[in-house]
This record gives sequence, C-alpha cells and structure tokens, in this order.
Amino acid sequence: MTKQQGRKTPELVCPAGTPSALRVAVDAGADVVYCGFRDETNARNFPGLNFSRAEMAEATEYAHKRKAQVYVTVNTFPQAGKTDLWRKAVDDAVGCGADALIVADMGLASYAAKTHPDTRLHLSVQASASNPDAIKYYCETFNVKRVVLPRVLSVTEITALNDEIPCETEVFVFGGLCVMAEGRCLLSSYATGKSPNMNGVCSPAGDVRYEQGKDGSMDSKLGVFTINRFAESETTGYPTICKGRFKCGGNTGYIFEEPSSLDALSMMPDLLQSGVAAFKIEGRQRGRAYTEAVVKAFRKALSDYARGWPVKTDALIALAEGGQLTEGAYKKTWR
Amino acid sequence: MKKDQQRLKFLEPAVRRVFCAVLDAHPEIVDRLDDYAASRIRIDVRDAPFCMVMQVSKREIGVYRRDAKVKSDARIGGSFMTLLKLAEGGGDGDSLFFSRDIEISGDTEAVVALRNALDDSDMNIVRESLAAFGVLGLPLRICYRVFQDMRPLVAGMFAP
Repeated sequence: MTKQQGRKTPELVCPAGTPSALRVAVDAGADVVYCGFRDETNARNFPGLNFSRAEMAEATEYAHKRKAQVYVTVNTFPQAGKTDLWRKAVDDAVGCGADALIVADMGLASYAAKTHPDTRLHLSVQASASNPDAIKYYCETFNVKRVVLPRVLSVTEITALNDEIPCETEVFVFGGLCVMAEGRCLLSSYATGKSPNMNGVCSPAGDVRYEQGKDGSMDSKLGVFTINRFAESETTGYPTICKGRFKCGGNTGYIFEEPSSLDALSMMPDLLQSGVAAFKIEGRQRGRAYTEAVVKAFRKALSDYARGWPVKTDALIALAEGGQLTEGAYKKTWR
Repeated sequence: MKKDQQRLKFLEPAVRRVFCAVLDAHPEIVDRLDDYAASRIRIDVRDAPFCMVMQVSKREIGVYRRDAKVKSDARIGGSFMTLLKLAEGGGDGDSLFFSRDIEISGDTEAVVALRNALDDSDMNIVRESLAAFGVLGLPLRICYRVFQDMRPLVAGMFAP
C-alpha cells in the first residue's frame, strides 16, 4: 500500500485568477484554491488577472472560514538582478496566510525553505520533475512535501513513481495541455521574447493578433508568425505555437499537438488507485463560469465514485479548447 | 458618411447612464484594467443594428450604426445574449472564443484585460441598468420582476 492510499479522496485543487473566481471555486466544493500575485512571479501573468496583496489576504480569509486552503504560486524563474521580487512574493504569500507555496526555481525553494520552514513547500509542474531521483533531491534538499507532476506520465508510471518517492504527488485532471516540455519550452520565447518560465506568460496577448477574413475565416498571429487559419466552421484554440497549424513536408496540419483540453474524468478510478494525493484543475486564466462548472463536475465525480455510482464523463466538452477532450499521457499509446 | 452622421445620438444618454452606473458600482473594474482603461474598445452586437465604442478611463461611450467606421484599439463581437453573459461572468470567455461565439481583433491585451476585469466584478447589468434610472427605473424594475417570476411558467407552457 502506498502512502497516499490511506486517503479517502484526493484534494481537489482548483484555479482562481481573480478573487471572484476564488469565491466561486470554494463555494463549488474546492478543497484548495491556487492563485498568484499580479506580477511576473507566477505563470499566469495576464492583463487584468491575479491578486493584489490585500486581495490575497482577503481571499485566504474567505477560504479558511469555509475550511478550504489557499496555495500561492510563485512558480516562474527569478530573473538575474530581480530576485527580490520573487522573494517578496514568497514572504507576502506567507504573510497573507497561504497554506502552501508552489515554487519551481531551486534558489527560490532554498529561500522559502530557510526563511519560512513552517510553510509547506510544493514543487510546481514548471520544475518538470518527473523521475524519482529528481523528486527525492527536492524533498531532501528543500523539504518539499508535494510535487505537481508534469503531464508526461502514464497512470502506470505515476503508480510506480508514488512507490519510490518520499512526498505526495498532485496530478492535473482537467484543462490546457502543454507540449510535454513544461518549464523547458522556448517556443513562446522564440516568437515573442517572453515565456511562461521567465515572464509568466506563454504567447503574451500583446503579441497576439486575430484577423477576421471576409469569408468568415480567422487568422491567429503570434509576433511575426501566422500560426493558424480557422475556417468559419472550425472551433479554435489558444494562439500558441505548439497548437499552430503549419505546412510541413507537403502537408498542412498540427505538427506539435491539436488544440484540445485534458480531461481525466474517465481515468479517475485508475488515478485514485495510483496513490496521488491531489487532483489539480488547470485554468487560472479562465472565467469563473469555467471554474464553477469544472469544480462542480469533479466534486460530483469524486462523490459519485465514493458511493460506487457511475461517473459521468462527458460533462465538460463545451469548455474544451478546440472543442476536443483528451486523456493525454495518462492513456499513453504512442510509446 | 461623416462620423457624426454614423452616431445614434438618441440612444447615447441611456447607454451612457448605464455605463457610468456600472463603473460607479464597480470601481474595481478600473483598478483591474490599469493602463488598459485608456483603450478604446468597440463592442459589435451581431444581432443589433448598432455598435458601441467605450473608453473606461474617460467614462465615455458612443453608440454608432453597426457599419460605422470608428477609430478603436480593439474590437469584441458577438450576439447580445453572448456579450451579456460574458460581461456578467455567466460565460467563460475562452470557451466562447473557442466556439466562435465571440470574435476579437485589434489589441488582444486590452480585450483580455477587459474580460478579466468584468469577470471579477460580479456585475448584473439588468439590475444596475434599472438602478441607473432611479425613480424612473421603478416601473421597469416591477416589469423585470414580473418577467423573472413569469419566465419558468412561460417556459413550461412551451415545453415539449
């Protein structure tokens, strides 16, 4: 029996880009809400999004009164000469009452572990730690209590990993998918000079342009690149290069990955058996309508599963990027 | 056609009144918009014969013919109900974009900032529109309450 199998149900860790979304998530049944400050210290540094210090303190109080927790993401990589911004984010998160810090950078993990030894430290997916040696290193060196696993592992691999590491694991169960190189992707940086790793934003909106054609088509452009052209009848995706459609070898198609969202509802029994401690929903950049719908669907699914009832698996298609859902690497068939 | 001839001036006082009432009731929108409050954003209502161009920092909103050529930094288009849902946080902007229910062009950053600011605001445009008209809004409020109460009944009458 693995260390997590004693848990009845895993924590449901839900996204919030605004205080309003946090309240919605808590009221919809989130055990934990994760969010970040309104600057480049977190990987969803979008205009109009995120929390001021005062909002974070109020949000944490709101969550705690309702028995929910707040994890604060400080999960970009500090830039040379600007490390104070990231350290202050760590200090302020603790001051606001955060129940855990989610970090990716080793230097920041070291600072947090030394400066705030009583605050739980979680390793962000951006650290891309996906093997026992890497995870053990973070646990032993920085007292990391939980690692958010990159979306590259099958359920079998997650089960095996859980038996070998001394900390909890958290896995994504719904939302946007990266091109399987989290924390190491340079596509956005190549096209725009900005990346989620350093600036907290993939394909920054300031570099994105949409052009509507007279025939109902739509071009999406990132920097100087046209990355997709959607016919009038087609659903669209995010304006990221990894979801772009390109001419290659005489064919036109999605050479990295198709626009689609991860949905692990159908994999829930297997993931529960794998020993993970928490289910994470992606989407701090999404609206509160998304937050409410996804949190409710997963809360109900966990409840139905616990009662031995069938889990409804097609509830969230309307929220999917490109109108498509995938089980991603959890049901990996390509290796 | 000159810009003034494209303007639907008879609609503007009512629209401006509602616009300012929303901004007064939700000062957090301006705070969240930050520098993007100065952006001129065009709202194209697909199923209406007009469009609006607003600039939050100046508390200005103009109403124009749908095909009017008006200078703006960014544009959001969609049906009236879709845009209402988006403004009130009842619809997820990304999902509406994926499904092509809304379309955007121009300064994407300004559109994203506006979407996020509105989503956080918990506004109810109908409620705030009625409040904007003060005493004159009372009969409208009564009509709205009656409409709200009657809606399930009417829906039931037409149910299969």
